[in-house]
Amino acid sequence: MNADADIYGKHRDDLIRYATTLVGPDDAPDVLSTVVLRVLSKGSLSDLSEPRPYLFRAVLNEARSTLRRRRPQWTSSEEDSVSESRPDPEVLQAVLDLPARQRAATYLVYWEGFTMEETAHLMGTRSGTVKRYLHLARNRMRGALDEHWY
Amino acid sequence: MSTGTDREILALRAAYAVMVDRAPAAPEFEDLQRGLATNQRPGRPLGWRPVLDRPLVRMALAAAAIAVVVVPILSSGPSAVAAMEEARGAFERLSSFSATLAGRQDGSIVGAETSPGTHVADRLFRQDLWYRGDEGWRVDIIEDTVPELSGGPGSQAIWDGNELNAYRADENSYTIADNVEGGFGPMHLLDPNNATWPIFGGDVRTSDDYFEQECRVEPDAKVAGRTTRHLSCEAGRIEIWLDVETGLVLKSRSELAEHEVTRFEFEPEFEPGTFEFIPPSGATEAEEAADDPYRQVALAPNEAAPLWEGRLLGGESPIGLSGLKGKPTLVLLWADWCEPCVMDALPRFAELHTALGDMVNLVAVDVQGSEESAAQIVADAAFTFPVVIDDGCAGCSLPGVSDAWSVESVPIWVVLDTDGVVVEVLLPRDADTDRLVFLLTNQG
Repeated sequence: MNADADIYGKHRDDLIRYATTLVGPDDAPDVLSTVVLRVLSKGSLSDLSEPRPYLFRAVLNEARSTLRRRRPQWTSSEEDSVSESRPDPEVLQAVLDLPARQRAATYLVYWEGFTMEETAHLMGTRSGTVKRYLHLARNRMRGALDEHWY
Repeated sequence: MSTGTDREILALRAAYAVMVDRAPAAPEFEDLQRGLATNQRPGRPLGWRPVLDRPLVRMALAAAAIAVVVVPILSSGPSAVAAMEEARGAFERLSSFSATLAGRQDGSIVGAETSPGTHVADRLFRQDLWYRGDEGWRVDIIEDTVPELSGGPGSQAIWDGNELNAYRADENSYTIADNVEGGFGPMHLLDPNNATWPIFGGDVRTSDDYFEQECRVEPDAKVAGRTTRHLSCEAGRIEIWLDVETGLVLKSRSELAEHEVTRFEFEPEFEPGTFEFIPPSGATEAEEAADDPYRQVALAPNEAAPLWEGRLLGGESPIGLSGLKGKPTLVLLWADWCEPCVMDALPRFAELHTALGDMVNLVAVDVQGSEESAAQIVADAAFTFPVVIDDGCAGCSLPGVSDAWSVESVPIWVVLDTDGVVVEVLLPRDADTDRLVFLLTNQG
């Protein structure tokens, strides 16, 4: 069980951030709990040959299942001022409107800085598909930015 | 000066900076363990049970897609429920096997999800299966009396862990997909979580309540030399045999369908190349038609949708597309015999109906279905949105939906603007609720 606590401790901060970008801060702990409990109810995290990609994929799947029931929950806040990079509410909304897999791909590549191959591994797909998600997401963002800025 | 692409990436990064900053603390491991002990999620007083939804193993023989429904498990119960639970638990641990199975199916069950109107009688089939989890699996069609569904003898589908290669012998062509979504796989009759529904004729009767009330456990029996739990339901009208070691449904039987595994090898040595697809000589790579929503209906973006007429469920008077202008319109093409439609698409359609209310027109069209079944489904779930029956009507002067739009598969989501012009056609894969709301509320 200590091995499980170590594995979980190593990845949990990355996973909760990932879940937050997918379903919002309110549902993120539930998504992560559900995923980890599902593994623990059957065995242990140390049984997984590659726990990190497994957990990332499971979080994305669970998040998509949550999103089928409701949209990402997000309320704006004054605390959202992150130095000079604060986006307009419309831009934030446009990102939240991206389908979950496009959000996952853009988050992992553009924020976390993973390569296409690493992102594909974490999403359980191929790098060509990741590229397609990025392309679709940028197109949608372009539309949203054009609409709000000019 | 930044390029257009840089601008979008900067916007995405700025949004993620905010989101990451707002991320809550991850649950403590000790709390998760406590939750496990009490079978509850931390901070969740209500009873919660883990749902054993094994990563769904599915493949796409292009014409014959059957989607999968995962059934939650009760922690205890009478013996038939316990037997199903035991099987699902064993199935979770299943590593590998090879098998041969034979079967018979009637009606609109097999392949019907992608081909409304394909009603088959006494389809006989035989398949060889190889399975090694998500790393690889393969189905070879040995025999199929309705070859349009599978491609006929010599056809195969191979998942190599990265790509799904589906080869149709009748057309000597193959498709390559990078996922296993939207199809049926080696588990389509064997998975104890979903495999029982073909023998129920598409009815959703795989709940624990059903097994508790309708089924009893008979003495163990041998199938293909394996020990199985034998369930008999509805006074023997429906029978299921579950492999004790793997949980697989080795045999099933009802009036509508039956199958039986005739050869089974547990954890075999696979020949090298078993999961490697080598296109037969002269075979051509076909476009993945099933992947293109605009091949599933005769609609084009930014063009007016052809008009149709049908009649409202329970009525006779015509209702047509021409009456739906003035607001954005969402049309869900579904069918009462299509389980993914009933289990997933309709409930989400109902949510959209509640959320968007009078702002948009929402119409669910039962494509070539039966009014009786549709009425039952609508009554059971107490749906309040309008349902159109697509079987012609006395006062109709225009063709029905399936003819006017040449509907090839269900479920399909169609978004129209206030003038009846096509905004987007979406396959289930892309029809996130988010996306539909966005398309319906961000027009013009």
